[in-house]
Amino acid sequence: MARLHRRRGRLGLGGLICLLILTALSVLILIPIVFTFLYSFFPKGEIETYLAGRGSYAADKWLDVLYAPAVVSLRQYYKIFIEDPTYLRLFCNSAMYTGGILLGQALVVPLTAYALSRFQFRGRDFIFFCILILMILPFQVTMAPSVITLRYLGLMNTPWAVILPMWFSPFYIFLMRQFMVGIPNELLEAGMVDGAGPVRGYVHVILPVCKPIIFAAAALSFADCWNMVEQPLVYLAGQTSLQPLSVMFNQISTDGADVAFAGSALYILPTLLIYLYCQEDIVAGIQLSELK
Amino acid sequence: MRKIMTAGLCLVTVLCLCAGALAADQTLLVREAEDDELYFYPQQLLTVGDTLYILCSMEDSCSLYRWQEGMAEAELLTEGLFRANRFDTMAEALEYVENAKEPVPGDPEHALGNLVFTDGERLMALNPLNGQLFAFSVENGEIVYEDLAKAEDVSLLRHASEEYSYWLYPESWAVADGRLLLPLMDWNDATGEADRRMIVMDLATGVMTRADLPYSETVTGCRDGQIMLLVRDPDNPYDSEKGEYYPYDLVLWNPADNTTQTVGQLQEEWVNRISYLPAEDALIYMNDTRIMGVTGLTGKEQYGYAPATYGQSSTVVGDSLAFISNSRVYLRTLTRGFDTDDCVTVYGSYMSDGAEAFAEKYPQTPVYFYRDYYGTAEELSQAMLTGDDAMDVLRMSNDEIALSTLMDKGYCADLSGDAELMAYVSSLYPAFRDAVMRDGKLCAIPISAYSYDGWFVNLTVMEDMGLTEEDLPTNMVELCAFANRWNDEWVEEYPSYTLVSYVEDYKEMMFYWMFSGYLSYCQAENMELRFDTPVFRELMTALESLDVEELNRGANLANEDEEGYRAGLFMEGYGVVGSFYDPEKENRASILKPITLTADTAWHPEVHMEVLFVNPRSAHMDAAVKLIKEEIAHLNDTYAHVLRMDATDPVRYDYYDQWVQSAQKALDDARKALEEADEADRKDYQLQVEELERNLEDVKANEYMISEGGIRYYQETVAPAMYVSRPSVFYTSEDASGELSTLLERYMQGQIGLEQLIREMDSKIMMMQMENY
Amino acid sequence: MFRRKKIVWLLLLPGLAGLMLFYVVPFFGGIYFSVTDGTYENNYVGLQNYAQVLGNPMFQLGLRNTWELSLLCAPVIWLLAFVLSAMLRTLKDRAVPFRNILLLPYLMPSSAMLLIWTLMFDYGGVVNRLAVAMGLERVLWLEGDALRFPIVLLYVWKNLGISVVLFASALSAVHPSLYEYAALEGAGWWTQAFRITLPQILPTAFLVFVLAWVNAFKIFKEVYFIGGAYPTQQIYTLQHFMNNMFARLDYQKVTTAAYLFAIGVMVLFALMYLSKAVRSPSEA
Repeated sequence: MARLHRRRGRLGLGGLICLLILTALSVLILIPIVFTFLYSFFPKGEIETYLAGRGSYAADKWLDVLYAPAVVSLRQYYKIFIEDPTYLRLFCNSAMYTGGILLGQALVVPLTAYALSRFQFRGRDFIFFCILILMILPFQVTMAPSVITLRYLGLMNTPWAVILPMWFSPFYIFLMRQFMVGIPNELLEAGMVDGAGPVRGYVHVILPVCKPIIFAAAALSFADCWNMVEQPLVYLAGQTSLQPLSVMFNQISTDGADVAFAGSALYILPTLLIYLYCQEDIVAGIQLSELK
Repeated sequence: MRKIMTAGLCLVTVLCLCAGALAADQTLLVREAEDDELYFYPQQLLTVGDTLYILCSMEDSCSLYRWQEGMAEAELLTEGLFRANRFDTMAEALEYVENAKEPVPGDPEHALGNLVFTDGERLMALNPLNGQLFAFSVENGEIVYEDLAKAEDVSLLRHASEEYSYWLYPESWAVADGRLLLPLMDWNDATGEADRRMIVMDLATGVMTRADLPYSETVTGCRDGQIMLLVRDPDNPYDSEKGEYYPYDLVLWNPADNTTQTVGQLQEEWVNRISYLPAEDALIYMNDTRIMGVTGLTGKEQYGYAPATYGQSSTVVGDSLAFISNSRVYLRTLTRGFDTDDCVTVYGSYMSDGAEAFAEKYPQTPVYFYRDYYGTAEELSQAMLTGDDAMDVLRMSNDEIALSTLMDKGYCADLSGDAELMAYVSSLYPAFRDAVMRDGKLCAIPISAYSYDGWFVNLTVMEDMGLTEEDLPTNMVELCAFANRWNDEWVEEYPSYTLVSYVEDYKEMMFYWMFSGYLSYCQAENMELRFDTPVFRELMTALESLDVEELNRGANLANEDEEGYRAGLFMEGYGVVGSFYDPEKENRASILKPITLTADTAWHPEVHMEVLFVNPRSAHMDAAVKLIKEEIAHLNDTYAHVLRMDATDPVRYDYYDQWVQSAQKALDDARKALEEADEADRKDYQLQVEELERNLEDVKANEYMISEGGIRYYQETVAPAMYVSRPSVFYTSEDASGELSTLLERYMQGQIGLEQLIREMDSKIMMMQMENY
Repeated sequence: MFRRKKIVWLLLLPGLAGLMLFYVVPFFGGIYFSVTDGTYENNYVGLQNYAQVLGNPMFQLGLRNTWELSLLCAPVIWLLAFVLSAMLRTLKDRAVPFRNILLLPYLMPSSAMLLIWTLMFDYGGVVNRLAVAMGLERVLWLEGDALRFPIVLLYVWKNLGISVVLFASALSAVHPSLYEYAALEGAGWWTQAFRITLPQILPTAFLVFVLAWVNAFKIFKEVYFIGGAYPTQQIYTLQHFMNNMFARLDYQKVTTAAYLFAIGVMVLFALMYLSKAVRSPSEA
C-alpha cells in the first residue's frame, strides 16, 4: 500500500498529458450514453420537432445540439410504464430470456469448464479446440441448420429456441475453463485431504474459488442476452409477441419519437447498473479471455 | 382353401359393411331454385322421435316435409303453413291476406315465425304476431293446431329501433324440462354494439325472460334433461398471444334447478351448430367438411364426412346427422372414429362448385379443406412433405412468391401425362398456358383469372364537360398534364366532378399508378427491373410537374348534394379481363380506355391467375386429379371465357327473361294507369312511363353477361396484350420490399431526390438479383 | 489434476450433449444442404453449390467488404488499444476509472445507441458541424462510401475496451525496472512504449490483433441496424448475404456460404494457434 501511495504522488508531464487525453476520450465515449439519458427527459413536442429535422439534405440546415429541455418531462416514462404496456411487455420478455439463460448457464457452464480444466482424459484438447472454433464463428454460419434442428425438436417459435442453445454458449465455457486452469493445484489438493471426490471438490472448493469469474461471466452473459438480436429474430420469426426488447427496439423508436429516448435509457439502465456493480470482475474476466 | 374362404368371407363382410354405411348417407331434399319459384329454401330440421321434419320457406307460406328411415327422399306433408316473419303486426298480415289476388294458404292466427321447435314429442311454434304458442301436426293432409299458451310480450324477439325493426332469427334453440332456451343476437343501432340475449320461455305459460346465462351461439339438449352451451367471450375470441382461438367451455345448464356446470373444453376456431348423439353421449358438430364429435363430452374425434363446409340447421336422427347446406338436406351416418383410405385434402380452396360436383360423383371420397394458411414456401413445403393428412391439391395465386419457389423446387406433380388435363391446358390462351408449362412439364392448372387495372371513362361526365374521346389522355404522362389543366381550369366550373373517382391525394395516387404500372411494364416486356430508364424518368418528370393543389382540395369532399364522392371522369381499378367489355354495345354509360405509361409504351393489362397443383407426395393422386377435372368442368362462365380460347358462346344472364318481363309489366301497369289517370296527374304518369320505357330498353340491352362483341374484343384486343403477373423482385422477401418501400416513401416526402431514388433503387434491386445469380 | 476418472464424462455429459445438439450437429448437418440442390427430389450435386456461391458476385462483394471492414477495424482497435493501455500504465492506479469507462460501451446494446448515432452523423449533425468548423466539406455520412465511417466508429467505440483491458493486463506483467532504466537513459514516452513495452508483450499484441480481426468478422448487427438488409454496396457483408439468403429460404446458399466463411475463419485461427505454439512451445 505504501508503494501505491508513493506512486500516486509522482505524475510527470507525460502523465499529465495522458490524463488530459484520457479524460477527453472518456468524455467522448460517454457522450452517446449521457445524451441518451438527457434526451429521455425532453418533452414530446420538443424531441419530435428535433428528430423531424433529421435526414434533410438542405445545405443551410443544421440540427441544433440540445443541452437542456425547455421543461423536464417525465411523461414519456409514464407512457412506457403505465399507459402503453407494449414496452413493458417487451422488457419482461427480455428479462425472461435473460433470466432463463443465466440460470441454465449457471448449471451447465461451470460444470463443463470444470471437467475440461481439472481432468486429464483423451480427447480433452480436441473438445477444447472445437469449443474455440465454435466460439469464433458468427451466428449466421449455423443459422439455417439450427433452425431445422430446433424445428425437429419442436422448439421453433417457442422461447426455448432462444434459451436452450445459449445454455451451452461456447464462449462462457471457454472463459470459465481459462480461469479454472489457473487455479493452483495445491488449493484443490488441500480441499481433497479429507478424501473428497471430484464432485465434492467441485462444490466445496472450485465453485467458491470461482466466484469472481462467475460474476464476470454472468455480467457479460447478461449483456449478451440483453442485446441479443439475431437469435430471436430467426428462431421466433413469426411471433411478435415473444420478441425481446432488443429486437423490437428499432420499431418502437420509429413508432414514437417521444418514447424513443426514454425507451433507450430504460433499456440501457440494467446493463449499466450491472456494469457498475461488477466492473472489476468483468475486467478480470476479460483478461482471462486471452488465450493461454 | 381355408385361407381363400376366410379372405372371401372377410371381403364380403367388408363390402356389406361399406354398403351399409353408404346406404344411410342420403340427400333427402334437393330442390334447387327454379326459374318460376325463386323463393324456396329449407329452413329448419326438427326431430320428433325417429321422424325428421323439414320446414321450408316459400314465397307466401311454409311447407313441411317428413322423412323416416327407409325412405329414399323426404315426402311433402303440406304447403299450407302461414309464414309470418315478413309482417310486423297481425293487422298487416290480415290486410295482406285480404288484398291478395290469389288466396294465401294457412291460418294467420297460427302463423310460423322464426321460432319453430320441438320438445321431441311434437312440433311447436310461436306466432310472433299474436304471441300464440301452439303445437301442430299434419294428419291426412290436414294441419291440426293445438293452442298451448299465449305470450303477452314478444318484444325480446324483435329488433326495434326508430329506423327499422324486424324479427330476430335465433341462432339455435333447445328444449328441456318444459323450457325453451333461445340465444338471440341483436345490434344496438345507437351504439353499434352487439346485444346478446339468452332467452328462456316457459312452455306452459309462454312467459319469456332473459336468463342469467353466458352467451352461447349454439345450444342443444344434452344428457339428463340438461342443455349444452358453448361458451367463449364473443367479443374477444382470439388469443393474440398464442395466435389461436380460445377454446370453448362446454357448459351444461340444468333448467330444473338453474345451475350450470363446466364439463370440459373444446378447441375449435368456430363451431356453428352442435347436436347431441345420445348413443355415444357425444356432441356433434361440423368442421369444414368433417363431421366431428366430442365423445362422452371429452374426446374429440371424427364421426363422418359431409360435402358441406357447415350445416345451417342440424339435428341428430337415429344414428345419423341431418343438416342443411346450400338449400339441400343431407343425412350422414355418424361413425365413431370415422376413417377412410381415400380422401383428398385441399389447401387454399373451399367448397366450390367443382368440389361439390366431385362430392356428388364420388361420395366415398371425402374432400377436406385445410384451414391453416402458410405464408412462406418453406412452411408450405414442410406441410406438403409431412403429416398423415398432407395436402393433395393446392390452390394458389400465380403471383404469390411461395408458388414460384415451390415450382422451381419441383413441389408440383407433373400432370402432362393426363390427356384430359393436357387438352384443357392447350385450349387456354397462350399467356395462361405458358405460365404453367415448364420444360414440357405441366406444373399447374389455371383455374381462375381476373384483373383490376382497367380505366373506364364516365361518358356522362365527359359529355357534360363538353369533352370528346379525343380530348382525353391516353397515357400517364398525358394524365398528369390533364390533371394540371383540370387544376387550373375546371375545379371551380365543375364542383361535382373530379378527374378520377375516389382519389384523395392525386400526387400520391399518380405515383402509385406510375410505379406499379412500371413494375408491370417491366414484367410484361420481360425486362429486368431497372429504374434508370427513359420511361421511368419521363414518368417521374411528369409527376414532378404535377401541380394539383386545387384539385386535391376538392377531391375528397362530397359532391354538391353531399351524397357520396364526386363523380370521376375516370374510374380506375376495374377489370379489363373478365368484364368482357363490349365496345359494340349501345347505350353505354362508360367506355374502356387503355391507359399506357408513356406515348411510346404498349398497353399491358395485368392478369392475376389462380392455379391448382398436385403435391407430388400425394397418396391420393387419382382422386386429386379427378377433383381438378371436376373443378375444370365446373368453371364459372366468366373464368371459362377468360381462360379458354374455345369458350366462344355468349352467355345470357340467367334472369334476363324475368327482368324483361317485370320491366315490361311495370311499364304496362304504368301505361294502364296513364290511360285511367285524371288530367291533372297525367303529366306525372307520362314521365313515369317514359322512365320505365328507358328502363326496359336498358334491361334489354343487358341480355348478355358475356356478349359476342365482348368475346371478340377480349380475343382481339385484350388477350394479345395481357400478361400473367409473376412475383416481382420487389417482393423477394419482407426485408427487400420493406427497404424499397422506405426509399419510395422518403422520395415521396421529399427527403431524397429523383436521382438518389433511382440510384439506390437500382443498386438495391441489382443486389437482390445478383444474390440470386 | 484428476486422471482417468470415469466421472468426468458424467460431468461433461450435459454440456457436451447441449453443444452437440445445438452447435455441432447443426454445423455438420448443414453439409447436407450444401451438397444437395434443395428441390423436391433433393438431388446430390457435389460441390456445385460451392462453385456457384464462390462465383456469386454478391458473395464476392460480401467477402471483400467483410475482409476490408475487418482489416479496417482491427488495426484501428489494436493501435488505439496499445496506445491507450500504455497511457493507462503511465497513470498507474489513477487509470482504473478511465479503463472502466473505456470498457463500458462493450456492454451497451448497439440498438439503443443507434438513434443517437444517426443524430450525430446526420447531414446536419454534430460530426458535420465539427467538420465544417475544421474547414472541411460536409459529408453524407449515412449513405454510400462514407457509411463505413460511422459503422467502424460504432464498432470501435463498442469493442475498444476489451483490447485495452487485454493489453493492460499484459503490460502489468512487464517489470517496472525496465522503464526505470529506460528513463535513466533519457528515453521519451513514445520510445518507451514502442521500444520497450511492445517487444515485451509481443505475444499478447499479436493475439489482440488477431482477436480483434476475427471478432470484426462478426460485424453485422451494427451494419444491419443502420443500413438494413440491402445497404449500400460498400458495407454489404457476408452476413448480409447469408441473412438475405436465409430470408429467401435458400438453405443451400446459406449453408454453402457459411462453410466457406467458416473455413476462412478457421484457417486464420489455426495460423494464430500454430504461431502461438511456435512462439511458446513450453506452454502448448
